[in-house]
Amino acid sequence: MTVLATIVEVTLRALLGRRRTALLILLAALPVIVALLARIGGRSPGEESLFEAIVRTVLPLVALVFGTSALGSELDDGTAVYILAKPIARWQVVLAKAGVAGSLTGGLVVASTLGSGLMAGAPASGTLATGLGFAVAAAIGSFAYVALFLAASVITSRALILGLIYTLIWEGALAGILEGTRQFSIREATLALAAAFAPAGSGIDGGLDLAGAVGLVGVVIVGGLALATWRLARWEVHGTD
Amino acid sequence: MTASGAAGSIYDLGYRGYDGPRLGRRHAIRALFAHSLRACYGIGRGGRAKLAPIILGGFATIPAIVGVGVLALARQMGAPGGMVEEASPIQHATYFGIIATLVMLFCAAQVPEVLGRDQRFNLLSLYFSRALRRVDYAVARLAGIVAAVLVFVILPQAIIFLGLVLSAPDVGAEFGREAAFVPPILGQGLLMSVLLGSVSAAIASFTPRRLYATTAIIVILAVVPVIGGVLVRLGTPDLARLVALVSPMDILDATNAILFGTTAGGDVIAEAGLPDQAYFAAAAILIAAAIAILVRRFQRIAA
Amino acid sequence: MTDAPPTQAPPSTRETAAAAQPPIARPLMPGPGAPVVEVDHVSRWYGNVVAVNDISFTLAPGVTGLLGPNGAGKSTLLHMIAGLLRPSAGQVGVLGQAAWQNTAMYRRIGLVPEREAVYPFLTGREFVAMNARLQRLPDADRATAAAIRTVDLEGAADRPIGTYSKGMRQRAKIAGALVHDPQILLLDEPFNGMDPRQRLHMIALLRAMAAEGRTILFSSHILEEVERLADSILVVYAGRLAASGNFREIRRLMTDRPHTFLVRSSDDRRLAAALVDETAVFGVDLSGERLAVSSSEFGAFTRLLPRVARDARISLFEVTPTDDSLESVFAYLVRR
Repeated sequence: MTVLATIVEVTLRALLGRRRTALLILLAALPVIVALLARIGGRSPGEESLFEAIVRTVLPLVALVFGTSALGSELDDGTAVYILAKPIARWQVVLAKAGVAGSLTGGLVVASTLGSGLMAGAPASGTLATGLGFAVAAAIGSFAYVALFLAASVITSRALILGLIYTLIWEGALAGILEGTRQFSIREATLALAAAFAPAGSGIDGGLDLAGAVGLVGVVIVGGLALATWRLARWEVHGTD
Repeated sequence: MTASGAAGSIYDLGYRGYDGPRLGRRHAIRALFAHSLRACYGIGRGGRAKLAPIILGGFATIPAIVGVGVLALARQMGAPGGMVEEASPIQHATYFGIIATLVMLFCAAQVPEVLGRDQRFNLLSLYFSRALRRVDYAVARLAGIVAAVLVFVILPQAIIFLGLVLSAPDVGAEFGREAAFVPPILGQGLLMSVLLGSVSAAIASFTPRRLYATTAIIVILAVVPVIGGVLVRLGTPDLARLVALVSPMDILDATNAILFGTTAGGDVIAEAGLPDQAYFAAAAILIAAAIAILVRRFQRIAA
Repeated sequence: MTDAPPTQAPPSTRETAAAAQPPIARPLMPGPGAPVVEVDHVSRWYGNVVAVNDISFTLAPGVTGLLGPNGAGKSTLLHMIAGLLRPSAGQVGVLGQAAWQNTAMYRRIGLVPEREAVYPFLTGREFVAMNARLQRLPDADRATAAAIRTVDLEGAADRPIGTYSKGMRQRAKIAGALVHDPQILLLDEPFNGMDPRQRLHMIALLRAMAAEGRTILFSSHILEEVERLADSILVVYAGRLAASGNFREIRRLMTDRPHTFLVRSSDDRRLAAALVDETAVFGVDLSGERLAVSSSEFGAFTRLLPRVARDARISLFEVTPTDDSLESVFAYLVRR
């Protein structure tokens, strides 16, 4: 599959070689630093709240940046032509790019989770297990977020802000007010998965049961990729004279 | 007139030039201000450009409408005076705090739109070769942004005001009660729009790419308070004080409480325990610095 | 995007265009069998802005130049032929099939877009190799090396494209479009940023490729390039087809347009008197700072002027044709 490998390589180099990656790494490192500060200060901030904070802030932000620019930046500045004016099926392009973005996001978030878990309370094996549970859930959540944001980036050039609205309003504020929105929240699904993976008693409040969470994640990933493929087949260049 | 030869033809087209009157510098500034204001709401652009402002504006205004509607209904059904108003979550004093996230998103979404396009498509040289000077450009753009945010935050408050007054059994007395809220509403509204507008503009003026600008604005406005909150829970009051003076959203949280005579909602401000003047001073310094950065940026930008 | 039916486009312009234009204008070189590219009453609008207005033509093997000022719709046309833009009305056919949503077609088409943006972190060689691999070429490396050699980029092939000059970037893009040996080549302002030597090299290359039976369409707003390279031209202005066919024929059809030259010499008045004697000259004007000579025959005048000056022992310091640009040609075409 040289075609897939080529797209993966180019996307990887495009996403990583920029300032934004450094900034994202900084963002992912914040929880680790906070945990470290807490350790030094002799206080324990409570691992679950730290992990939850990662899922609430670091995960969607990183997924947003990688997910919307993996394909979106090329569609916006016109370099997508070099990939699209080729005898390649659109689903292959989408799959390759989503794979790269999802893996990068997952990698960063898992590192952040494990790093802060180690900082917060390495000796306690309970922490480690919880941390691993969160890490796996966050990795799965990464692909769900990326599939959603990638599809959005094909449909509109404003995927970034719409993704921000989704994260901060839909998953944030509304979830507090309207219970029903929790069923359609990737964040809630991720937290529910973490609760399932982590050892019992980790006290994570999930509005979703495991089946609902798995179902949502599956639908989002498959649906997002399908939507992205369908819209990419209808994509038109803009900005020509 | 079509001319045709054996191997080629010329077809007829009609084209006319334009010789119209030209207006001066003040008109240019006014036009740019109006253009910025409209661009913040996607007016004059395609449907996609209106999406974010309408969604955010809708979320900001609908609770006010709903709250007022419920209140009017309750009053009509004869609820004891004052009880419903106090129980309702839709109050003048708290509404700015409720829509804080939405205002932040509005700035993060629209300010890069307004400032980034010209840089992206190299239009600055066109602007600067007109009657407009560089300072004018920066100021006009900023004014448009501030006006847009002002509309965004004042509109719901105006709806609450009108709703409360018009549904009251004794309009005159209600108006008198409500009038006391007008100065804090205007004050906080102005402060919000100027502070958030100038900080967002200063950030967004540095890059033509929406991604960077939006993310940077979100980080300064949204992530810094979160860090502040974490630091507060770690129990470090000095760091909390620092964040309280530097984070625009926290400053606004404090000034809201001061102006309306309530207590601040966020942990950071509660912990910091600084005197009132400090927050206004911090706001003034931030605003001045942001405007200076913005003007400097456009004076030095290559165009 | 709203897809309004054609009747909603401004009626007067459509009627004029439809009345003035023959159904399909064929270029000079008819190829054997079906046309390679067929553009049939194609329009493209964005809301109220019409970018391409009811254009029809066919392309056969050989080089066709798409001439027009910026904003005329050349890029839009090229992208529609390349299947990257959907016509609002009409059909674009490539090799017998619709161009839109036709991924298999890309084996036979190479596109060189105008936009500057290319992955700046890839080296030239990596970029061309990427194109080769995405084209599923069996021996991508060999094709890459051949393409790079063809465009004369070997010296810089291993530097990142971000460090290239504009001309080198153009050549890298062209190499990427040639690497799979396409039957059809679409180039959008390909000579932008190239120096004369590179341009000559590229013109020779394209002519050679056309001689092999390929169909090449390139857009430009520079008269000399088109003159040197294209067998036939399509002149586009404000979204409409203003002229098509053999370049010399169009030029000939414009001969009743006077050419004006500004001349500075050692004795303008005597020169003017001598020139008025020539039949190719039909007007002289001494009222300005320089002598303005109006002639109806460009070529003949450029030959007779030095002769007349030499015979009259007058030195010529400066000779400037005032309206030899494409803009003035269009001004002429447009005022008709």
